[in-house]
Amino acid sequence: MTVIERDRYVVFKVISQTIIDDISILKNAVWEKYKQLFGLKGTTEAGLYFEFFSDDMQSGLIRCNSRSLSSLMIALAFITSINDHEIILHPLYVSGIIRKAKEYLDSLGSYNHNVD
Amino acid sequence: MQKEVISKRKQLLSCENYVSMCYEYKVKDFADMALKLSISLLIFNDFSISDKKKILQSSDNENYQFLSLQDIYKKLNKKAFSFEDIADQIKFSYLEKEKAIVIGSRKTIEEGTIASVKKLLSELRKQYEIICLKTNDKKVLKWAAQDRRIDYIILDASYNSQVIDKALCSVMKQSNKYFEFVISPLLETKTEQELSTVIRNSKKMLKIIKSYNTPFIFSANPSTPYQLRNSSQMRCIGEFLGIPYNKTKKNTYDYQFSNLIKNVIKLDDSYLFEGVRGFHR
Repeated sequence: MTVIERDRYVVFKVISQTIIDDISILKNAVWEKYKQLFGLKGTTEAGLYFEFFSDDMQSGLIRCNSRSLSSLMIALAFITSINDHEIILHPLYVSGIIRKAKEYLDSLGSYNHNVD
Repeated sequence: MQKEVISKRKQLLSCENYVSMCYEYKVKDFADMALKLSISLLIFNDFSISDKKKILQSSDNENYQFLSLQDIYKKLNKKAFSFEDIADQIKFSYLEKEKAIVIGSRKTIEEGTIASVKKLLSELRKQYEIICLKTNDKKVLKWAAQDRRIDYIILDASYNSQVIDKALCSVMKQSNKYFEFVISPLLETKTEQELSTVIRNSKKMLKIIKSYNTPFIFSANPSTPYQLRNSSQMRCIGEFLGIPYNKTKKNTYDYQFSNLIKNVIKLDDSYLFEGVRGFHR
């Protein structure tokens, strides 16, 4: 029996006092919070991957395993600050198809970065 | 695609029931953030009904529009009679407008004895739309669970979970009163040890509430706009604490909204007693 792992793509928006231009800070924050709440085992199973991030729109796209979607949402809700700056990572849209997620991101503005 | 974004407001109405203002931020900051997060109902702590009227005027030239349920209710006074009619008319005619934010006033009483709570209630009940009680004393809690003037009993995640028990839960359920579960201690913790303690306490409390089917609501109790969380994020946090996502649909907006309307109706001049209103000719 083959088990297909399905992906989910989460479009999120950064709401912060300062502009986040270094994606690695954001990635670290999400990874750290996820690890803090769900442990190393949970983190490895989640398959987190930052697909895109736009500096201009301050919004991006995270890929995760479909089973870990709720855990990712919880981790995003728990993030309150990055480098002593208050922040909200606001999930806007979830899709199982990357094209749709990109279209949604396009409708918010243009993405120009490919990270990772 | 643009249509989908706009219609989101209709599906995801969110509420923040317990905004505690600090000096650094103003009402405008909270309103701007509420618009970004699709929160359409903000209830400010320590803002009386008269303070609220001043805030309402401040939104005239802003990109949001503050609404007061009292004003809307007066407009609807002779068009809608049953509670359901009033709630529906307000929801569909006013709240689904893109920039509308309904604001409410509330007071949190933090007293340790029944006598002092009674004294405060007699002074404050008509000045605020929502009255809540925050205490660690079991006797006060059991008394408050039966008092009609108190709308919510606050459960803080940093409390000891032994504050609530079966007796309190059943009294709350009988008198149709709600626990207000505040999630801010979860978001404000500094160390992992502290976070672990708060999560353990919260899980215990919610397990008791869930086992007796006691009604409750979620509040973020933000002191800064960045601590605001919308309906779906609060439900996600609830899921983490052991309440399934699908069972908290009404706990983040509907209960708060209907309680606020009930109190607005009670505080109106035309209110005589439950279900009966008097009109001047």
